[in-house]
Amino acid sequence: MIIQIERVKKAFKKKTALEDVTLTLKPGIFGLLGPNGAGKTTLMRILATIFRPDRGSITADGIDWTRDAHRVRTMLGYLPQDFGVFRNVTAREVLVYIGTLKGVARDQLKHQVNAVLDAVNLTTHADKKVGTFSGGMRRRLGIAQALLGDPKLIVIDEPTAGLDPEERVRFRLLLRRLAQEERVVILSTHIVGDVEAVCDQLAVIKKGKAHLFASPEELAKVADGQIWRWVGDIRDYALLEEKYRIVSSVSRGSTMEARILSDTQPSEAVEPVAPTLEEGYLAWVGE
Amino acid sequence: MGRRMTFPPLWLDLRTMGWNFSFPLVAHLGIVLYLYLGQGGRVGMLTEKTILGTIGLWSPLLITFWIVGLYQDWFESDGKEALLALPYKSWAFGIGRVLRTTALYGFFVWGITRLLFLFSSDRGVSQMWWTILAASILFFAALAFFTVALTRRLVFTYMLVAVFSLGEWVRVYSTSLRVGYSVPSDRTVAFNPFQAASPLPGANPLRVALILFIVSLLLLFLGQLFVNRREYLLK
Repeated sequence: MIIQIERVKKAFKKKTALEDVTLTLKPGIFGLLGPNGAGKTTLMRILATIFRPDRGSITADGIDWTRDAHRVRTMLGYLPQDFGVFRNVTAREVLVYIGTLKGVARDQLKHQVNAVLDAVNLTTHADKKVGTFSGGMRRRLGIAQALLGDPKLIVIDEPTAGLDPEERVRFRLLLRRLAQEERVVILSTHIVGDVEAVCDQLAVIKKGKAHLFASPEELAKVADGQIWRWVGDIRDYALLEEKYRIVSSVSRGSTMEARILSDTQPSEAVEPVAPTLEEGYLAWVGE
Repeated sequence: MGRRMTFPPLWLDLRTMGWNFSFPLVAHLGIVLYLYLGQGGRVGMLTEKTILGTIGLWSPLLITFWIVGLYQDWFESDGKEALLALPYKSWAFGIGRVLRTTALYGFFVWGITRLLFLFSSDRGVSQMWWTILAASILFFAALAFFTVALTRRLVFTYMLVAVFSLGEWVRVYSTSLRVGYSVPSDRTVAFNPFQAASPLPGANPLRVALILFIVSLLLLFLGQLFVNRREYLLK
């Protein structure tokens, strides 16, 4: 399945959230990066058929998102930023409820519920009320419900927010597994590490406009010749911070190591280095 | 290929309501105890008028909690987006679930009313009274559905239903006392959501039930229009 997003526009009253967004999403994991308020969530909601675009179209295998919204929903797994529903019932009951609405056949429902609970490591908590869950556990339950019904398209908004490092690694592995089954998985995030770890393709969205990159490496290259490594006395670091844009720094006893984003060489004391994905992203969004 | 279901399982719809489900049940048990103890715990003292007046007033109102509970996660929770992206059928999710829940509630109220009549020497509840009670319950279910879909806020729904009910009760009660209002004739289009508890003098009961039924359908339809618009529900 290839999803074609063509010149999608969405505005809320006078504020334009998306402006002529055109993207092609192939099977695999597609990362959508962008600062807060850039329009990522609006695009996610359009892909999840909750919002309708004001203009433009989204199609895949002859299915049109506006005309065949119900059909899109039957092949969709969606996890929004927050998942705090059905606090009065157990995790297993939540999944039975959602699985039923997703049209999972009654004789397969129990098996599927057990499988997704296992996939997100919630089997031992399956019969506890959702109201007693921590933020990370609710997030995992949200992922589990998105996986029900074997969706061809999975849309996940800020997937690893609220997960601890162990859960984050587990989730990334799970995503990789999912993408091997000819699915399109779309991640919206502002955590560059998530994209670096799992995404095959990506786009950066800035002020409602999206730019497609063929690979994470291509985005990293945006900062080619703009990243400089500085090593010096910790007392000089404060001055450096005032004058230049520091993208990362590490303290090593009395010395500091910093990476600077600058179009020109900041000083004699720095050396050019290869940019990371995060640096490419920062150079692109210009923040 | 197994069977696919249009509605979520009823028992799960009820479980997800939380205290909204329990409250009307507890309140009805309270009504039974109050009426039973009010006659000194003796059987045979409870009058038909007391039973019909109490059930006719409180049972229709209390269904609000079930209808609001039915939609609390869909309209007012942090993760409602995930639910709104599900491939449910809008009519089943809206009117369908309201009618299913209302039917169950009606069955429960029927049972409670029959139970109360065990404490009474009166036995006669007319078919008309049952019809009016059913229409009143349906009306309040439809009103709660419309209000919760319109406002998408539980507190606003409770407040609006409470204010409306209080106003209507005062109007109906005043009319029944013939204070400040003209008494409707048999042919008047008389609206009375509390007809089962406090009949409007002179109004044709069947006509009142029919009007309640029509208004209920209208409210259900209007509520459904809001429910069909997922973007509106997300706001």
